[in-house]
Amino acid sequence: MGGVLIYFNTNKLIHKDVENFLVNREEIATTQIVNGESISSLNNYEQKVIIIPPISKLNIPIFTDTLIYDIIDDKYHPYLQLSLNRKIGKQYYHIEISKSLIETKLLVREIFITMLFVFIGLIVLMIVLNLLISRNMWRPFKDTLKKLKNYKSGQSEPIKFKKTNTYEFSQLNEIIEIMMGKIRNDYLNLKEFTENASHEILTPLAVIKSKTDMLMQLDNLNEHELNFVKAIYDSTVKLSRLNQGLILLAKIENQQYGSEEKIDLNQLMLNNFKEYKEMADLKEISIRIDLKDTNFIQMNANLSQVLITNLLRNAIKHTKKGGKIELSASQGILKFLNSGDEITNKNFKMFERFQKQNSESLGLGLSIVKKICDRYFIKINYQYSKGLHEFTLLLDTD
Amino acid sequence: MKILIVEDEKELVDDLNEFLDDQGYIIEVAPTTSVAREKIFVYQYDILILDLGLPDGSGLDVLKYVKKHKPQTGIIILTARDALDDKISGLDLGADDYMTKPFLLSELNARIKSIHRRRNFDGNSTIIFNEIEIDTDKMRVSINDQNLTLTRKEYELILYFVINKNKVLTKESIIEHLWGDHSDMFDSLDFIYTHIKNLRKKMQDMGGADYLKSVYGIGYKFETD
Repeated sequence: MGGVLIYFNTNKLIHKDVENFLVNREEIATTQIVNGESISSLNNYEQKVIIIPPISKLNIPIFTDTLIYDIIDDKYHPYLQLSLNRKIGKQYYHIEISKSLIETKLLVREIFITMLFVFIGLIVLMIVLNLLISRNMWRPFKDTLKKLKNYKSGQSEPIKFKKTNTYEFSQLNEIIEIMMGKIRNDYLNLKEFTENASHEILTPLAVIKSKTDMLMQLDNLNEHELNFVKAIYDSTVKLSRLNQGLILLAKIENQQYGSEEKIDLNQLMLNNFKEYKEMADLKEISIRIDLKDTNFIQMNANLSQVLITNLLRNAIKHTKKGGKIELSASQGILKFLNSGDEITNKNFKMFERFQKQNSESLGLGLSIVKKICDRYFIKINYQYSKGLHEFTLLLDTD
Repeated sequence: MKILIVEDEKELVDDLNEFLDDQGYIIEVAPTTSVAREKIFVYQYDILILDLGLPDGSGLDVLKYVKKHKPQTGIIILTARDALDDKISGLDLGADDYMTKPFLLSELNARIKSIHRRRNFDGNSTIIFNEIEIDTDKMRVSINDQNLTLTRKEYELILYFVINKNKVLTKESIIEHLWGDHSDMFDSLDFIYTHIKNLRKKMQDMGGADYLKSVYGIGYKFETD
């Protein structure tokens, strides 16, 4: 764009210059005629003066671009020609003066090429400079980004950035540090609240439970009274489970289970299968297990245990007496199947809190499972076919 | 046997006191870590029941103190917090057992007895009640000197009953003791009845008295009078 502009501008400028030159030459020729020099001596290769009959159009210079054949080069060259009618004395003259544009053409080209080189040089210089600048000047910014990316809300150290001389970056870092400080404080407060809430609720619960326990030991209670006490006792048990479940959910959401290790999920399934087999036997549920390949995953050991046991418990809980459970694992896939009736409620949201099929259950087990899966990028699917509920865990295998 | 309860919740302390006193233990109470430290320094306790959240500090500090100065004392951590960190650090520091609130007195009693036997304070691992003799080392039960053939669960069941004799044990608490906290998986807890029935039959076959009484369908009681 700039190149084109320069090309045309230079061309125009030179044209103007040549025009001025021609006007000048014409004035010289006129002076010569006035001085009485012979017309033939004025005629040459670039200049032509002829006497013409009187005409009315005088003193109007006309510039034309024309091509004139050059014998030496055997080529047509571009010329700028001035033609003018003048009255000198009593005679009328037609004066034609031409000037080759070949030099100017060359000049423009030279200028254009030089400019082009300058431009390319500038662009290359800019790219190199940009690279150097982005490498050095943006370094503190990149450092900030990296630290932010690796920051976990649960980490014990507050975030600290490298010192930088760039005003904008030091401002940015300062603002982020203040902001993160606030977030950290809020997080710690929330964490403290969760722990306090659990503590403060469980202690009175413990009192209620032990009081009802003591009450039950009294000899003079009749069945009616004892059933009241039992109802309080049952609710206490349920409340404490609910509390534990909600605290667990909050802790997973707050990412308070930080430490991770390599977990063998197949082994975990096998261990829990052995433990829960007894439970299943009590309900006369046949339980089968089929483990293939290996499934390792990087996750918190406690959460992996919660994940597997919750699915197993869910299966045992919702299988009727005499039903069956099938557990299987292959590369990247874990399956939990159990027999049971289809869920008829179309609006039943399996993985949401307090969604339950009967009033006895808390409706937290599967929402905890979902939370853990989300945390470790495990896909969980549910389907029902041929009288079997099927939960599938798909591990992210890359 | 002397027990120190380090707990600040008065109502809970009262219940623990009453229940454990009834079991024939000598009970002392410390509501704060500083009182606990004083008492531990001066007296000798067999078992320490330790709450972690105390008004003037963490029970874990008391735990460290006990481990340093009176390492022969058995320790049961009792806490409302189930933060896993606490659990792990508590057991790492040498606590014998861990119970989260709310807990059952009968379960606590079973744990105290178990630590007591493990630590073998009396040099005796045998529990004798009338015609029943339970050898906790060999996990064997005999009635009138005749061995009973019991399943693992039946053994644990009779031990739990004898330890908590004359106490109403709910079906939930029995399941929790025998199988862990799984009672919510069952629509009905009547399967306990089968275990009780089998145990009762085995005991009576050896000429034992029928101690196991059902309490209005809510639980059972090992009745001695």
